[in-house]
Amino acid sequence: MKSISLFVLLSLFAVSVHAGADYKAEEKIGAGKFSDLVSYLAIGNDMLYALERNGDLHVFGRDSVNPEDTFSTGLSNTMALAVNEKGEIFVFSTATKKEEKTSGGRKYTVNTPTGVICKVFDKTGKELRTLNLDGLKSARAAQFSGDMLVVADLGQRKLVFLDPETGAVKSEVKKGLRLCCGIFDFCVGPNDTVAVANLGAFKVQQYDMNGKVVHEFGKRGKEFNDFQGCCNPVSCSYLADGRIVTVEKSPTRIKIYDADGKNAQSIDGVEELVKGCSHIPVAIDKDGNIYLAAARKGYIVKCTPKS
Amino acid sequence: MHKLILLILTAVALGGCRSQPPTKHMLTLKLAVNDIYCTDTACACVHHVAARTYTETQALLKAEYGIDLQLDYFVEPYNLEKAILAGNYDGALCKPWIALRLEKDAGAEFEQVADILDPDNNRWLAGIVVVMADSTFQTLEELNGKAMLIGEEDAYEKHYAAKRLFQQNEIEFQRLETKASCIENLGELMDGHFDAVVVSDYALTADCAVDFARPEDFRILGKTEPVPLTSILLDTNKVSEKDRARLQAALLAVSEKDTPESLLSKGFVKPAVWSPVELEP
Repeated sequence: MKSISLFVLLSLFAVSVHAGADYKAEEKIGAGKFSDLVSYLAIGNDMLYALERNGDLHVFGRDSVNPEDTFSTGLSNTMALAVNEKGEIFVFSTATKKEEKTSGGRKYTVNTPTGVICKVFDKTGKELRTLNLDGLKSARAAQFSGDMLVVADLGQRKLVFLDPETGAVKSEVKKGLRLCCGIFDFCVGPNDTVAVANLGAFKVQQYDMNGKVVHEFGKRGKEFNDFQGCCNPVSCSYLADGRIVTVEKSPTRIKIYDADGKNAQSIDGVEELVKGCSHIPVAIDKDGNIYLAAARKGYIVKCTPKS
Repeated sequence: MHKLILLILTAVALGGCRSQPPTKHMLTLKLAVNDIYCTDTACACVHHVAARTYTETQALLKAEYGIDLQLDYFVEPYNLEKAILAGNYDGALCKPWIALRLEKDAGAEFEQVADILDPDNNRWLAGIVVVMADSTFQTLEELNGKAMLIGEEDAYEKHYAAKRLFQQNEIEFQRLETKASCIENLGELMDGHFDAVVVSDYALTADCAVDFARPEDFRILGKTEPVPLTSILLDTNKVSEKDRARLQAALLAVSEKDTPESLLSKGFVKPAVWSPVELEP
């Protein structure tokens, strides 16, 4: 009994002691400007792009609170976008079909992904071409890494590396991904790597372009370095200095780890961004500003480095 | 016009009669909640199973039994622990071990008032020892000398009960480690890092694992002793014996008559007697 008491007290003490990060939650962006769920964020052309699930794409300039431009992609169920070095914007739409399932005698309906449509736009919103992505069932997140287009395909539960010109699959990561709650996000890492927010494993896992894990950290637990909730983190993104930002939902916790995945520090002042088990898209611009989408609340929280 | 006013007044009066509080004084109880099968505390990926809500039951308790059962929901069990330790609640609705193991540090003395049945009308929780279905292991004894991953100390069924099961069967491991969640344990097993793992018996049906692990991919080699799954526990230092009995009677009555469908089962039953040896002085 004594050991139980000591364990409890030490654990709770550990939870309460952590340093604040050199960041502050500064302002809300786009409040009142979104009509649907904010499904993804991306940086490109020195702009912040916020994609809504209904296909609308909002473009925010540096320091702007309201969108400078909004255009309809003509797509629906859009949950991912990526901007290449030329400034072309790739928007991904996932087609689904409804399926009825039964569990414990209860019937429920799920939307099963069946394929992906990708349209490419220039920075003015002019449609340039459609990319054939026959190898994908869904697109839940997308990024460019070097000359590869990387897409998180939740339908097939794999991270797919594609040729951005032809859409041909070059390689993929499937083993070890513990994806749940309809969430599958990743970010581009240093030295031609990508890092997956492997929420069902309570880990961030960094892969090289051949799909080999080169670094990982995280577990569920009470220590501040640990992840909490039913499954976390839901997204992650690297800062220019090699540190990595992790995003946890329910409860919302935004932390910055050092390059080794240790010594987590909290970005204080960020409110509860989502209720329950939902994705929180994140993007970081070249000045190190961190953008977090409160998807259903309809705004983006901007966190800036403390000067 | 006069007739209309008269009609409205009559309706208001009758409505007032129906919602008139019972003659007993209103008993207000504030509970901290974490329930595997409750929508407000379960992960979204299992909401098709964890569809229980308490609003209807709360309304019934208030209207018919004069009990205002106020519930605060904690999705994160660690935050539930902090809430219990802070002493801001009259009790909890959760796995009883969570509250019982904290009562000394919380300065509380918890008593189980009622257990709530799961959607299969089951009241028990056990840890299960699982291996991959395509592994060569067929019996618990074959795990002797192997690598085993169990739960942490805050999960009775997959830690203490599991250790007791292995002790009773004289099984010792070459490597015995702990992790905090069932989904981590299943993932480690799937990745081949351990020969067997212990998870809660609901892990493959009412936990995030449903999204990446199918029950048929695993073989169950053993089951621990059962412990109560979810109970209402009240702090006897804060709630009198009379009021504890009053809540229990009301919960049982609500469950026996027309059990609210939103409870997903036959509702509340008298609590199972459970005294974990780990808490004996």
